[in-house]
Amino acid sequence: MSADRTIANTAANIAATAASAARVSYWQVVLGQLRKNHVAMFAWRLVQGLLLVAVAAPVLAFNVPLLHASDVGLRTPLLSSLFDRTLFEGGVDVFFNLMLLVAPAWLLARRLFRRGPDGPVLSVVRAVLLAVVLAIELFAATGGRAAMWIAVAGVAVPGAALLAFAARAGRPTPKAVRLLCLFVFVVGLGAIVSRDQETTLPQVWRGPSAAVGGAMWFPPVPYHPNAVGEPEARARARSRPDRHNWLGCDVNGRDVVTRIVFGSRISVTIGLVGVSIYILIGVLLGSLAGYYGGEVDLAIMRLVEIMICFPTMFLLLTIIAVFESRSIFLIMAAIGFVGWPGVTRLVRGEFLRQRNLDYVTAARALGLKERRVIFRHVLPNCLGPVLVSATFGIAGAILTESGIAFLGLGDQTAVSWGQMLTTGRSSQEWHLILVPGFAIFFVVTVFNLLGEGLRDALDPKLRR
Amino acid sequence: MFTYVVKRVLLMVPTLFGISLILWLIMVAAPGRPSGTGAGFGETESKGDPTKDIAKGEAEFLFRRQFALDRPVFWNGWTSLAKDDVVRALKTAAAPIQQVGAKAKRVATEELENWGTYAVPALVELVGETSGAEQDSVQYWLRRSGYERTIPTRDPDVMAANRRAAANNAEIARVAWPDAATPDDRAAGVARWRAWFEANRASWSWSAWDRFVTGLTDTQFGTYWGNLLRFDLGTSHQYKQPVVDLIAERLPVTLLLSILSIVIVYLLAVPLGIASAVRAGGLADRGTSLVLFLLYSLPSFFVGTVLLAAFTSGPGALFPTSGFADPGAGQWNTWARVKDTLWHITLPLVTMTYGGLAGLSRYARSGMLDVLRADYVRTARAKGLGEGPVILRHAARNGMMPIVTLLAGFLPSLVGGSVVVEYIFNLKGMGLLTIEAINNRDYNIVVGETLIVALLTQVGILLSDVLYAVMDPRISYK
Repeated sequence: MSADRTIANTAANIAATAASAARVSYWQVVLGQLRKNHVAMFAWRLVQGLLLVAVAAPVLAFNVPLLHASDVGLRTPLLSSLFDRTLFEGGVDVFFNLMLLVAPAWLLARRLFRRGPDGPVLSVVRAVLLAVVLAIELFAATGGRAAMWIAVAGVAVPGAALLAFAARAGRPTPKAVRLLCLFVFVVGLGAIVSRDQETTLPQVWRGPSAAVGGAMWFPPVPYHPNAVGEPEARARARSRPDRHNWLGCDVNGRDVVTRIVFGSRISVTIGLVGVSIYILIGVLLGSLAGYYGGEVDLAIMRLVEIMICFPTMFLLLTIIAVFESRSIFLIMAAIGFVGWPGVTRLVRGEFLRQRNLDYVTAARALGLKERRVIFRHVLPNCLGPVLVSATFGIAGAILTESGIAFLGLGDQTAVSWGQMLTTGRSSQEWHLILVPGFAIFFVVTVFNLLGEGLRDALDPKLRR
Repeated sequence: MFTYVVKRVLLMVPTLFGISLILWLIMVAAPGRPSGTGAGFGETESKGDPTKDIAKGEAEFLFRRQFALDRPVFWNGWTSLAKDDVVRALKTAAAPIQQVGAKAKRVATEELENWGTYAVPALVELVGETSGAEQDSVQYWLRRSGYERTIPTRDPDVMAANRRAAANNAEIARVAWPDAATPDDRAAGVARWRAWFEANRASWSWSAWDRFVTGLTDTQFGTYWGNLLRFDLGTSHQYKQPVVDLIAERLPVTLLLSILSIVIVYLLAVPLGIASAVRAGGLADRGTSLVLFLLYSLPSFFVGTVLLAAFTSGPGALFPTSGFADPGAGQWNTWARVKDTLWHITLPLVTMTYGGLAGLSRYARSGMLDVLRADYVRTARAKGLGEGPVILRHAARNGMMPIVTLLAGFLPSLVGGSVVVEYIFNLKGMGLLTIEAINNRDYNIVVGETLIVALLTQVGILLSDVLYAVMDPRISYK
């Protein structure tokens, strides 16, 4: 009797475990494992911090006041300067400034719609609230001119709708509506950003002397990364760290803290964009090679072998040379072009392991299209190692870009840590060498730590 | 073994072909094609400095010539260039900009420039049929097309060709009529042009076979592969000598750095890996792991810069700033010279090795850990062997096997790393050559170096594969 009961109990236990296991997805398990790794979690927080610094760079360090209170009223010079191309030269900066506007609204949308709409009325109220917030932001950003009202409203409403739809992702939302919102939002935003700055943005900040007076509230580090609008920059060239310039100034009198803060934008972009490009190529080629095998596999793997034999640095330098361009986007594309063979090998290996499993046969037996089997059924099971290699890849891409900039072959207009290091080297000033060097070291270490953590979290042998 | 090596060498051929093909594709895909007018070729950099402009033009010319960038990509049909095409291009190039548009004008001019010598027969015919300003423009293009540019180099063969070209150019200058010419002058000039053309007729009378061969070879594709097969990497405009010679001159520095750092890395990483695996989990192991992890993330250009700033000037000036040998080293005896060189490359070697050391010793550690759990190690211990022989003779020899395979993957990054090191410490190796070449638009060097380095990497990978086959008797390549 008791033996029977034990068996029944065990069976019930097994069933319960199976049921609870069924509710936990693979990625939740991985995330749980990662959470237990304090070092990796710390690194993850630091990565989030880096992203925050990159997006919020002008709020942290810029020579245009956040707020300006005078007889004319309360103004937001920084917000209205975000798309001024004399202050922000590069496309990367413009993108991040856009993010600076969209990110708070996005976070608000996440908060408002976290549990899904409680009904049509409430969800309209929330969407209107979001639209108002977005409109206020855009209104400030466009200089608060009355003529911009219509454009602002035209962007804020579809933007808010879009954010609302995006925030409750996972629920069925009409795809056509989402696409329409996205289209209107992008077109409107493009119209606002690309309009001639002289005519639409009369509030562009022309330095403190242009102020009518009144109280000004500057970002904590009130300097421009390229010392635009700072006539006193020459005088403080090469100055050591002091009360005003916390980490000193470089040979051109540009504040080092500001440059480090803005350099994070370049590093983050290089890491994310460069790695995304090669992950995309690698996943595509790897899954084709692994799934189809045979001649496809042979051809792709020959290509991979050839690419792996290239000394990466020389190939990158050749691309930079023959394309006759030093643009940061070319460097991103070059890193993307050079990096994919490793990912291809990884994905191919995973596919080879997965393609003969029962679930693939089942999916095929159901008559699904091959594209669907490859990308919806097999690929998600192969992404673990790719994620790890992408994290290490970000560190590698940042190193590569700084290396190219260090050799003096990077984008001269972009504020890059590698370029700061190389000017520091020629200036022979210790603070100009150590600060950018440690910035690169820090970011690379953080991504490597996160990569290690992810690798351990994905390894079933190390499960805790 | 021998058959394996032969097979492996034969396998290198398609890989090398692939490498060259990819490099060629990059060049063909690159926009900003250097054209004769200099359009789209970084015009902003040398505004108003004529010497720089000349140097730039020279560099562009050499690169364009080496890779036949002004020729069609696959098939050159210009041997049967129709007179109508030339007339049309001449008209468009001479027409006012409002009528045909700037783009069409530029295209027509570029076309005339690219045709070069192929357009001479049509132009000689035209020069007799036109008059006035039109005739002047035809002669302008005739002079340009007949003109042969000389290649600045010290290569004797090329210098002989240069002399022939110079004679031809002098002849053309004699044949042409001056700027403000009377109709009589022109008539005499036309006669002179015809005589010149008849005298050099052989250059323009193509048989069907000639047309076919030229069509295939005088193209971007044909020139590239032809040059590769002849091992002709072009001429450097900076150094006025063939790129192959330049690379041969610079190669020893890079090779010395790379080989020495590989040796050092392996000599240090293997014992370090073994030691940490044996004491796995202990304080020393965790300490080393942490330090190595940090070293792994430390950018080599940063380390190099810091070492240079710390140890070559000021109070810590223990090492020379730059270069490979003391200027006066020529008179010293061999031992003194070796010592001097070692003294010079200490800092570069440190910069090059620490990263590889960090990576490799981690692999050595994990390889060793795998082996230490194996049955035969337990057997060795069980039969009463001491810890020393167990670790060194039984475990280490197998545990270090994966490290040897890593050599192949390690090579490309090592050679890449030498670029940075050579730049920091001003060592005149291949890396520094490349950087200088990019800054001087000497692209023949850049492309040639990438090819050579890829070839060398292939050889290195081959060596490491053979080494692996020698080391591991389980692997038999039949």
